[in-house]
Amino acid sequence: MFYLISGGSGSGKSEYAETIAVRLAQEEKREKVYIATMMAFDEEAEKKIARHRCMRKKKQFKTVECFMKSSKLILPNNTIVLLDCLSNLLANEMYAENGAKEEAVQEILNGMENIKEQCVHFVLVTNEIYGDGCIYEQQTQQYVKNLGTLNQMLAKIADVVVEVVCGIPICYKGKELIK
Amino acid sequence: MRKILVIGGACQGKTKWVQDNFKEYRQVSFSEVLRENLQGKVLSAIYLDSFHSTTREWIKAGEDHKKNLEYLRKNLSWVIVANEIGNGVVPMDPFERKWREETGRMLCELAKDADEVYRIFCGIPLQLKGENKV
Repeated sequence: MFYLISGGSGSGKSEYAETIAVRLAQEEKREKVYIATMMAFDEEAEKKIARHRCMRKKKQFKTVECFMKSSKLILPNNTIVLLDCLSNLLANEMYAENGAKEEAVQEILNGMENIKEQCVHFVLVTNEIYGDGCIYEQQTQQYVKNLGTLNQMLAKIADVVVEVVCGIPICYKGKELIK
Repeated sequence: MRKILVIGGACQGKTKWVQDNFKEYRQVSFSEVLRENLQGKVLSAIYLDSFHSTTREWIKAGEDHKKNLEYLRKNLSWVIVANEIGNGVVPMDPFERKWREETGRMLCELAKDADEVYRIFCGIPLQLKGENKV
């Protein structure tokens, strides 16, 4: 199954996604793999990474780093995969030196297909960034558009689509598949 | 008497909906709540609006917002209203980022305590938690 989990800043989406991955792994007695996407480029990012690491520590995830080129990623077979989050991956592909740049959306779509094919269940965390009504300069506007495009295309192939609000899941697709 | 969290985007009719449906709750500011709590009183039926503005003041003033939140949560019954502020592009400014992130986390905590959580959309409530339909 493919789970797409979205939410705004501080919505509790990562914690919710981890809970789903842990439950699936327990039920099916499988290993859990966490795909980390954030580059530690400053102190704030380091703190954030440390916070997420701490959350995952008890939950026994194997961590794989993937900042870019997810279409080439090779994973252990038959696991439950959690990727957090798509918005980092997109920023890396669009702005990092070796990123896919204009091909970012296609590269990531290929990447998500690649991951989906290698695992049993795929839990993907994305981000809600459409609620401030601001118009940004062209580069940011393109980013917003790309993430929106990805969210829509991935929601189409996802079995479950959930928005997390104040830690509470609102299910838009596949209600019968989550308890 | 219940604990109720009401969230939603700006200008969605949250305040009006609360004022129409929770008349028995008394509107207060956080400083009033804190003053009375520090005198040892535990309050009931209080209504705090624009909680996101309160959290902004806390963070701006460098106050211990976790401690402030603890005071607020311990009161017997409340309605707390907040804008959803975390659904936009992540801001460049570190203070703005911190405000959004920390406010979101505080709302997650309040949602855990709340008997009911509502999200107001175009003036219409969507109940996210609890059974007591208004």
